[in-house]
Amino acid sequence: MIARAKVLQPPWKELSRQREGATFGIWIFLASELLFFGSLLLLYTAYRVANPDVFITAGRETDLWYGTVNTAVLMTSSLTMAVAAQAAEADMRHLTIWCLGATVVLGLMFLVFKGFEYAEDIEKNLVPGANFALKEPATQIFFALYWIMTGIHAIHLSIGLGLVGRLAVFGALRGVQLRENPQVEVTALYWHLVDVIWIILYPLIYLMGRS
Amino acid sequence: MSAQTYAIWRKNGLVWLALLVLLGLTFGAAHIPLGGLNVVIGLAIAGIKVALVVVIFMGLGHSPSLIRLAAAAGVFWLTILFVLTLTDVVTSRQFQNAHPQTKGGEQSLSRNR
Repeated sequence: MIARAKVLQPPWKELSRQREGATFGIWIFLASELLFFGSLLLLYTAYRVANPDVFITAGRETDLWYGTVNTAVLMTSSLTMAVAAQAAEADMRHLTIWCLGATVVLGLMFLVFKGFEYAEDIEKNLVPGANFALKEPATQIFFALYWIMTGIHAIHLSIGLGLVGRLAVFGALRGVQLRENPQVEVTALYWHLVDVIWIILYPLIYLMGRS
Repeated sequence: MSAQTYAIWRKNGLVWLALLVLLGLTFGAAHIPLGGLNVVIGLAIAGIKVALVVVIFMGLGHSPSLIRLAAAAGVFWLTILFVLTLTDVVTSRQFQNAHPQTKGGEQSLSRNR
């Protein structure tokens, strides 16, 4: 009962109601996130409609291997996150903590690969500006969107790392009860959304002009 | 490994395998010259991957209707955002192609070449 009291927060009197409220709340937030990334995707679509060939020329300059490996890494982190959330429901504490830890490691791997990719992009002068590597002006629009979209995605992922890492550490130290805790589900849903955004970005950024 | 652990890994592991197979498919399809179809296939496979993550990993498949409604509302407003904006973007581009001397619509969206 003492542990349960820690999970139950005001204004709720029952844990089941609190869990419903938390899940509903995070889905509303995720829907707003969808519109946030959606507006960037809309900008991408509008510029691509106006410059179809130039966007393909620019897209060819991205690093297909970093993009593909990172997609696999992020999808694997979604697997460990889903297992962690379901293990927490089933009161399997060790499995939950191990899978939360694995999710953090995979998330860090993603950021490290992204860092190497950014370094390569900077070396190839793919940052919009006076020394930009490609001739057609609209290629700079593509790369401006590339930096903004992947950058904002990386910020989201970093926030997710903090949330998942917090649950892993405090869960292991018994500072947070993982079983039936709505924080686990809310964190998992946020993590999956970050994966979903990347899955949509992948064909739009990395798969162009490869044939 | 207990039966429960096995069941959790099996269910989610199968989704993960499907995601990896789809990643391989979309990677391969991008290397086949299909013109405009390439982007369609890329987005279609991304759509299937997103559906797998949302329905199974995020559990929308067995969520109460209130949760489904919240998710659907996001998609609904996103659709309105895209349809209304692209109505203008696509048609004003066609207008400019037909009348190149006319400087109409969004200047910054016209061909920057």
